[in-house]
Order: sequence, then C-alpha cells, then structure tokens
Amino acid sequence: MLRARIIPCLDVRNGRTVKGIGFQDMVDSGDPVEQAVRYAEAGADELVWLDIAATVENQPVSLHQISQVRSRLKIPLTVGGGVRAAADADRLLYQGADKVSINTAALVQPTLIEDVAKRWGSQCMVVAVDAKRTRHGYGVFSHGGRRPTGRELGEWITEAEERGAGEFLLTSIDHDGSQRGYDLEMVEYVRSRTKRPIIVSGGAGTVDHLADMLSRGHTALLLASILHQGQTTISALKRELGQRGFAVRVP
Amino acid sequence: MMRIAVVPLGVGNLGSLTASLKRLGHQVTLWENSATGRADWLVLPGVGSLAGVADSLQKRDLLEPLCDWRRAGAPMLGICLGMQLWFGLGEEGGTGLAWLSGTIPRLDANILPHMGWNDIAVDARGPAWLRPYDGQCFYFVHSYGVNPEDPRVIGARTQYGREEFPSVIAADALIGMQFHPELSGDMGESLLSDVLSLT
Repeated sequence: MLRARIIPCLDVRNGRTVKGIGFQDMVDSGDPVEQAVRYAEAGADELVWLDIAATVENQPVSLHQISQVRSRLKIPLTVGGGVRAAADADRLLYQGADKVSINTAALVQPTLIEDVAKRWGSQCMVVAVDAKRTRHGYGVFSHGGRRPTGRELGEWITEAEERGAGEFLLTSIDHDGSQRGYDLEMVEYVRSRTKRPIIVSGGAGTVDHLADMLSRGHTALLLASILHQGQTTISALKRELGQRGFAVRVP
Repeated sequence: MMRIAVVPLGVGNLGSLTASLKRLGHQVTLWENSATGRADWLVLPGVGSLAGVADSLQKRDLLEPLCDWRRAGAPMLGICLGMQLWFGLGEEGGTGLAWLSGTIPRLDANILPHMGWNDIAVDARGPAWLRPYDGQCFYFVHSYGVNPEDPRVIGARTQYGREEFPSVIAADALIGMQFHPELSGDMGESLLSDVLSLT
C-alpha cells in the first residue's frame, strides 16, 4: 500500500533557509544542507528545495550546495527556483537532484516542460503552480506568487500535463504560511483535472490538517513553517498519523 | 569494496545512484565503452521511457558488450527501467532486450506514475537474501511494470492501484528492482549493500 509522502520544503535564499508568511516577510532559519539531512533522519519521505530568490532576484541556485546535500541524502530531492532553460535543469540533475521543479519559466515558455520531460523523462519534471482564488475562479500567479498571469488554474494544469508534467506541486497563495489548513477546495479542483500525483502545499499548521487531507486521499503533503518554526517534528507528526491509522512510513 | 560499473542508459540521472554506491564504499565507474576494464557488477539504472533505449545502447557500442556480459553469466543489477529492459515488448512502443520472456504493461491505476514509498511482499520462493526485507518500504517512480512469463523469477510483489506487480526479479545473475534502492533511505542502502555482496 502506498504510504503518505510527508515532504518538508526548504525555502532557500542566498544559501540560507527562510520562511515567510504569504510569500513575504522572510525569517532566516538555518543552513539548508544540515536541515535537509536532519529532516531526512527524522523520517521525511522526500525533500523539496526551492531557491526563492532565484527567479525574483535573478540569483543562480547554488549547485555546490545541491551536490553537498546529494552526497548525504538517501531520499528523493526535488530542486526548483530559477530554472529558465533546459540547460538549468540539466545542471541541477547532474548535481544530483532527482526532479526539477519549474514554475515561472514554464508559464513564460511552456515548451520548457516538453524539453525537460523529453530529455530526462516526465517523472523528473515537477510543475509548481501557485494559485489563488480570484473573482473569476482560480488564477495562476508567477514570480513567487507576485504576478497574475491571466491563466486559469485548471486550464494550466491540463496544458502542463499534456506537455509532460510528471507531478504537480500545488501551492495555495491564500493559505501559504497561514497554518490554518490546506486549501482543500483548490486541491479537489486540481485533482479532478489531472491523473498526475499532486504535492499539496500551503497552510499546514497542525496534525489535524495533515490527517484531513490524507483521509480524503491526498497523500503527498508539503510542510514548511510548521517545521521551520520548531512547533513540531516530522517524527512526531508521523507517529501521530500512524496512531490514527494512516499508512505512513516509519524508517 | 566492489568495482561497480554503471551503464548509462541515457534516461534519468545517475547522481543519487553513484552517491549511494560511494557511501557504501564501492568504486564506481561509468561503463561508457567495453574498454573500461573489469568490474564485479554492472548496474543498469534508469527512469522514464523504454523507447529508444536499446537503439541508444547500440549507437554507443554498448549493446554487444552488455549481451556478452549477460552470456558470461556475470552479475547485473537492473533498477526500474534498467530491469524492464531485460523483458520483451513494452506497451509504450519501446522494445526491451527479451533476455527474459514477458511483457512490460502499463500499471492499472488512477494516478500515474506510481510515485512514493510502498512495501514489498517477498514471494514464498523468493531468494534468502531478500527475506529480511519482507514488508519493508521502498521508493517507487514508474508507470510501467514487468509481467514475466516464468513466475519463478519473481522475488517480491507490490500492490498499487488495481493490481499487484513484480517489484523484485531474481533470475540467476540478473537481479532487478522496480523501486529505487538508492532513494530508499537506510533500508534501501542496506538492501543494495546485501545484493552487491552476493558475488
């Protein structure tokens, strides 16, 4: 039986882990390589490493750090941020990323999804989507949630899947950093539009929020501020979910 | 320490696998041509589509040496696509090497790829080295599986969607895993270590 995937997200800026609220107000919270290893030891099922400055401030992802973390990490690693061309994806994958996540660049130039998927296989191609509710349904935003793209969420999901997205990382801008629970309505909407796995992101604050999603069949859950701010640990969350009868991996 | 030659199939990346093999203290080389010297094991990694893999091996003059290695009965570990390659026709248009009879069908499930941690059930006739891993979880990423004609080559099975598929293949010197031991934490690394010490 497939286990829940509990996936910590490291938001990295200038080589340090940070976490903000609603994509703003960043707080420094550590060395991402050490943190990645600690999360893996605590039972993380996979890791997402997002260089949040890479798109907005035009900073290249630190390849050295990716290669450092790969040499120590025994679980899958997805890296995103600043991937603008297939060559950027190549560099990350050569340094040991298992998947690359593309957000803004895929919206600007959708053929990038095809380029990466053809070269490396669609399972390497994670399309990250930041969306929020607008007057006309769900809108897709780029540049770390700052710029409206005019694209409707469901249509973008369909297009990205057709172009070769192997997985989606779906963040609700309204819920991100709020710790008031995941955006169930948005997730169910996207679930109805794609057969690809969806990593649900934005809003996890308590174990109840995780349990709620698992009980509805959404098994890949991203965690950020709830861990970075030291409120709980992955091992404590997994223990609690296990006790409630959910299928979790206990390493 | 084993000398491990990793055969680049041209699909998927090799970073996690080489990192894992190095952590286990093995000497890792890329098997880029038949003149790369002696090795104790060949490892065929790979994720993605089987289409074009055999052609790509042929173009890089790797196919013939690979078949020679197989004929000599030397040990080979196939991971994911690297294992699927040993079988025959795939549904996605790719053709395997047909060293083992069977097909490579698409998994019957609502959400594909099958991505994440899942447990393996070791077959009653499965090899002794695999038995300690019965019920343990490993990391999977795939949309296709193998369906061998001879059930005796199946070492373990895994359930996903509406069916069970073989997750470990053991056919003499050919050992195959549908999951990725190099991405499967301490458990995966332990299994990888056990398998590579079998020679």
